[in-house]
Amino acid sequence: MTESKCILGPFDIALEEPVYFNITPNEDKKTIQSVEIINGFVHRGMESIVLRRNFLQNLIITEKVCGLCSNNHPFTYCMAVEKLAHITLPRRAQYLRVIADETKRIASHLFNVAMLAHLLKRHTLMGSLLEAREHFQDIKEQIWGNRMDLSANVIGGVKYDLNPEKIAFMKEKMALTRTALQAIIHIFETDESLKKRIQGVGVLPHEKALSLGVVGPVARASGVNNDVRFCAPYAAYDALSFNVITRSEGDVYARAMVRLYEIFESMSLLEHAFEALPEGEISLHVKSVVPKGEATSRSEAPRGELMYYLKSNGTPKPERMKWRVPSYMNWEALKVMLKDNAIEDIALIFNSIDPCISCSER
Amino acid sequence: MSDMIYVYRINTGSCNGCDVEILASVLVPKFGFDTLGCTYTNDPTLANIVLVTGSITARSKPYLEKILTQLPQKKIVVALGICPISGGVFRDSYAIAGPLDRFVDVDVNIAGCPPSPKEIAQGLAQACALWREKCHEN
Repeated sequence: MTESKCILGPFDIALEEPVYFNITPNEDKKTIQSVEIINGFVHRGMESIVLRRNFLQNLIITEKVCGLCSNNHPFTYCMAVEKLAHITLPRRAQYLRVIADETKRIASHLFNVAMLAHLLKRHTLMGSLLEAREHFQDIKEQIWGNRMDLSANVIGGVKYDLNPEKIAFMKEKMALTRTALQAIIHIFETDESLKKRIQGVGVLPHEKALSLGVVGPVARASGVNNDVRFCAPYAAYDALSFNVITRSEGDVYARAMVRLYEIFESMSLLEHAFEALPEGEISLHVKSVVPKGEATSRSEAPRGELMYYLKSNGTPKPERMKWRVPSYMNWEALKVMLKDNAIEDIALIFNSIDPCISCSER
Repeated sequence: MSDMIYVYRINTGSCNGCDVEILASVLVPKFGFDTLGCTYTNDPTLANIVLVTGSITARSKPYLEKILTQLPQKKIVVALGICPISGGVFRDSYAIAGPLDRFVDVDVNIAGCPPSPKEIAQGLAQACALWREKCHEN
């Protein structure tokens, strides 16, 4: 049995982040028998750092867990603190949180599918996906002042507000994205050679998805609906309606399609939120004194369920803070997805779970 | 031979924000990467410019040190994002071995968390100019 070490990167597009794969091939030397994933490169000791900072400072730390879901971390952290401190948010703040979150989700999904197109060497398709993403990057830069880290959340509310001009700007950019996305989906649904390349690749059967407890688009592509926004609505999601996109194939294609259609749902959520945006305060002026106790909170990040655990002993600093990130749950499923697939498809399958190593290793 | 400048990228444990923006700077035409006259390479021995992201975690330190020995003597080192420049919010963690200038002399800092693709392209342009001025001519 020969064992080979396959190193992806450092400028392999599938690998914005460092990770090694140790692959044991089947006898044909072309397909995978088993995979050992060697990681730990992005461990920054964040669970230790947060114990040395106060609750307010930690808001900034949580934003830096991961670039692509950098809104969900402070969002979920704030929900945990607010739960501990018995704070009820102004309704307008809850809507604004949803708006920030859905904006990030759309940009994240577009980026992931763009990377899929890149790995498939579909440069035109990748270009149009990235161009579509740029509309949302423009929105983020215009409304929040940064293309990645929005810094939208604060304990007790949000620190940005929308006015009719800003909403009009967002709608204008959304219309451009919608047109581009319709063309992209048309390609994904009608281009037979593209479909042939990714259908049946990296399959995660429904039963395995259930037993491994996968989350997010990975779960929904295998027919498991565990969208936290739907199952346990938080912020303003209880007042907003949307469809949960599920598919049954559980392959790379299904995961891409779930993400693409979720972008439409996110845009309609944004539209609803603009219409229903209540008047009022955007934030409560709360002191960062958090009473003794424990709290958990969860939200639907672009990659799936994100969970925060917080323990306070009544001092300005937390006693324990722990988070369970979506990629951690989806990681194990890679072993099922990769088995007996071609070695050359590793990057493709790896990308299809939209892995966030910096979240998992923090 | 062509005057193409080779850029080699090392991620020493970044949150992927900078890396995503690097990709955007390369793949979205409006940021003007194509006009810089450089290209990315997977081979450290070819590198003219070395781009480092991430806060240099303890886990990636030996990996970085090994790569540094493989790089040519003449090179321009670019620290991208606040993490390799100062360690950013992670600087006093047990898991951080950075900042980057503990390991190698840094020529260009592209600050930001993350810097925008425009800033990345500008920083790279600065690095390319430095390369042509310092290393290439003699």
